[in-house]
Amino acid sequence: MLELQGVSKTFGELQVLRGIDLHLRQGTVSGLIGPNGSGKTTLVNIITGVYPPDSGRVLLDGKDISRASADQITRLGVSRSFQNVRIFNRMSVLDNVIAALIGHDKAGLTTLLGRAKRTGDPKVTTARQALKTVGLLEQRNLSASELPLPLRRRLEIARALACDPKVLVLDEPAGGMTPAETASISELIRSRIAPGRTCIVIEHKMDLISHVCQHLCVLNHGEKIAEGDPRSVVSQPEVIEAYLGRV
Amino acid sequence: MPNDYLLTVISNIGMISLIALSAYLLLISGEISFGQQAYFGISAYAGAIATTLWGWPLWLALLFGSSLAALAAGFVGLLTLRISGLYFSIATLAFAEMVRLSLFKLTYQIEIDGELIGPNGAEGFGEIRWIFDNDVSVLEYTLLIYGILLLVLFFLVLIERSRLGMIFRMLGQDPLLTRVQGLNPVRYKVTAAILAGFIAGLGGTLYAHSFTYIEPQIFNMMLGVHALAYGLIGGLGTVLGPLIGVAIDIGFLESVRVIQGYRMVVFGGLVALMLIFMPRGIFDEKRVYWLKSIARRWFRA
Amino acid sequence: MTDFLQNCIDGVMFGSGYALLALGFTLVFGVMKRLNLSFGPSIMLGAYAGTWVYLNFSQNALLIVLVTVITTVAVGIYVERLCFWAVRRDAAIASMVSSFAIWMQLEEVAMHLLPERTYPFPTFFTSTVIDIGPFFVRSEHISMFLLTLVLLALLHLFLFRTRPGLALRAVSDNPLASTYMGINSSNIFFLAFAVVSVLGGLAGFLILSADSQVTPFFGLWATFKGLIAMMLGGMGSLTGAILGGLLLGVVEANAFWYGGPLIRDISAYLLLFIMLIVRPGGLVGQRIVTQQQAAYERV
Ligand SMILES: Nc1ncnc2c1ncn2[C@@H]1O[C@H](COP(=O)(O)OP(=O)(O)O)[C@@H](O)[C@H]1O
Ligand SMILES: [Mg+2]
Repeated sequence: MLELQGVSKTFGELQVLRGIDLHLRQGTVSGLIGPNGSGKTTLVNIITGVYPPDSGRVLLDGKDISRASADQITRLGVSRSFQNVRIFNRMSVLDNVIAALIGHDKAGLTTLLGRAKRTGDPKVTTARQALKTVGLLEQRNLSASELPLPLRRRLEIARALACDPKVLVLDEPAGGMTPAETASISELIRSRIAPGRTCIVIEHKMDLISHVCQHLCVLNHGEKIAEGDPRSVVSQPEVIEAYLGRV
Repeated sequence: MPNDYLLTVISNIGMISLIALSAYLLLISGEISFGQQAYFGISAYAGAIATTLWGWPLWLALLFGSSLAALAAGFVGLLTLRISGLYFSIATLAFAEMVRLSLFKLTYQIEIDGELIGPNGAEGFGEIRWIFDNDVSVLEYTLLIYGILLLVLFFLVLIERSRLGMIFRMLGQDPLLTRVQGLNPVRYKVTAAILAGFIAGLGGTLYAHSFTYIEPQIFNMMLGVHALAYGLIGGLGTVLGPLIGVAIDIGFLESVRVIQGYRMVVFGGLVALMLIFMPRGIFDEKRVYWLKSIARRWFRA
Repeated sequence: MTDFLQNCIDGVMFGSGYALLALGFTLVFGVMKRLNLSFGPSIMLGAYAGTWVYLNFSQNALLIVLVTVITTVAVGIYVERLCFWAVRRDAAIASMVSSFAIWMQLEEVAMHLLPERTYPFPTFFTSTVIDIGPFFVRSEHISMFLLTLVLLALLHLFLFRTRPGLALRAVSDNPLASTYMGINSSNIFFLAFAVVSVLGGLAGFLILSADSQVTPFFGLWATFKGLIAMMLGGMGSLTGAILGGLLLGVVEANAFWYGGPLIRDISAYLLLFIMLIVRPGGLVGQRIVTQQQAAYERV
């Protein structure tokens, strides 16, 4: 499935990632935790092709994608959400999801000039389905900018989900949410999104992590300090010191 | 003749609408070009040369001028791929000024009926006689302009509803997010530039044949800034936005006597106020969406 | 070779004027990360007011300088309030378009004040040609060059030796951090505009006085020379503005010598276009561009 081999990245003087190895197993949810600034988002950016890695490789189904551009990687089946929510503010909620599906159309002239949302278009059906999964169907005709933060995060998930990705990457899906909202999104991921799907979930909130992840990986200062079964990883002393000890 | 004057104003609105639409197309895809007048000018010269010096029919000249404009626009679009925001705006402005100044150097004259005809640097390019030679009345030419404008509008409405239009609007909101949706911005940015160049070009050739005289000075940056301002006034939510902007400026401001001589003061102030209170124009995306949903409800009832 | 060197000397003389204009752009850009395109037209309106006083009331040099500078500052403040202060914080491009719209206003007002094509501008420099070896320099250009140096020194003192200058540099370097330090950035924007307008008014006066006439094209001319010089040197950089001004001056002087006025103007735009494509940050300002880019692309 998705595999990282010795991925490193520096920004100017700052080494953000040092030789990260990671192996995602098909159909499981892996958690990625670590203190703020430990390089989690940067890792996501490298996986999704937003930045190229300085060294190391990213393999998707055995194919090296570390030099591919973000749009190619998306089309190969890696979808993501953003820690700082990014949505198309001047589009309706439904259109935001359709926008994601458009990227997966074949880019021929007739496709490009064809109606974006013909009635009865399978894209509309798929988009509505995705919205229904995350519980946003009611709001589909609102402008995306009118959604409150928790619903925006759901919209991002719907958008990523609609393309039926091979790998789904969620960067802090419960960031900035209240405990009740967190619990609800955590249940959503566990019951509706995770089954049968390869996912990476980045989160600080341990209850969400322990609720949804079968596998856990801990980053600290750009280094992987622990990996394995969530319960055993969390009890390792260096993890507690690096991360949990400070909570 | 007052009737002819009115027709001239109306045909002027039509031709300026074309360059306004060209700026609009770039505006919705997120780039502010100060340089659409370059493509208007390139096509005006090229189209006029084609009919007047080479004896081509107008339709072919239109196609030729606009294609040349589109080619230039695509070239600039490729060169400016890496830059955006104000760097893009200033680069397009620099290019347009280069074009305008180069037109001062453009001399290409041929003797026709014992007279030297063709662009002659600062002297300009007169005797673009296609209208007279073909006995086309002002009314007929105005109808032609509006026919072409309607075609362009039809095409733009088609684009707005298409995937391509959606991609343009996505790019206009968040290029990075667009990229992460699996779309390569390079391709679509250049496409937008080429289409915009072509539309401005249509306006240019029509303009040259309507006024029968052109000079480099016409294609200065004030033309480009007006083109841009029309979309910003009328609204970026619908293709009708720029047309409304043109109508407000040429149709309304020009005809109100009180502000004669202070037209720029009023127009400039209007644009500045719009940018404060309605940054995306009167008919921006929100209001258009709202109007559409009202219309839909009313339609159903 | 002598020709080339002579051109370079001329270029440096003119370039010092460009550098002054570029400093106006770069100070505003540094502080606000925005372009004020109506900078040139505001100077022109100031100069028109000065000429108007000169034609109608008094030949007193000091009075004319004062009127020019005060009008420029007043216009500058109008522009700041309307196009910068009132426009949304994140809408840098809207400010630029808005300042372009105000440009139209200013030009029309100027035309109402003095409707002819050219007016004499009071000259306070004696015009003689001074020989230095095989080269020659016009005395009014030397005066302009020297006064430019004085203005630069004053600006430097202001920026590096006074508290408001320090605050200005702080906002320019890191607006957010300076807010936390208790600097009111809105006041600093206002201050930057005022300082820049004083500088612009004086620069306009010097340049026009050496030219001894003023035309309605001065606004456009001043905006473009300043803008090109600043972008060549590097947006937001003081050193860049001076380097850019000198570079532009030298390139123009040579292009003029070898190709005439049209080639001079085309070469200036060509240089700008190439610089923007190849190195948007200019000679020294690359850091700002990459910072902006990084801030934008941070995900
Ligand atoms: N584009 C960038 N340019 C410079 N530094 C960056 C960039 N992106 C992230 N960083 C730095 O890299 C470090 C890791 O950031 P990030 O990956 O966002 O951490 P996390 O998501 O684990 O909180 C931080 O110190 C951050 O400031
Ligand atoms: Mg992060």
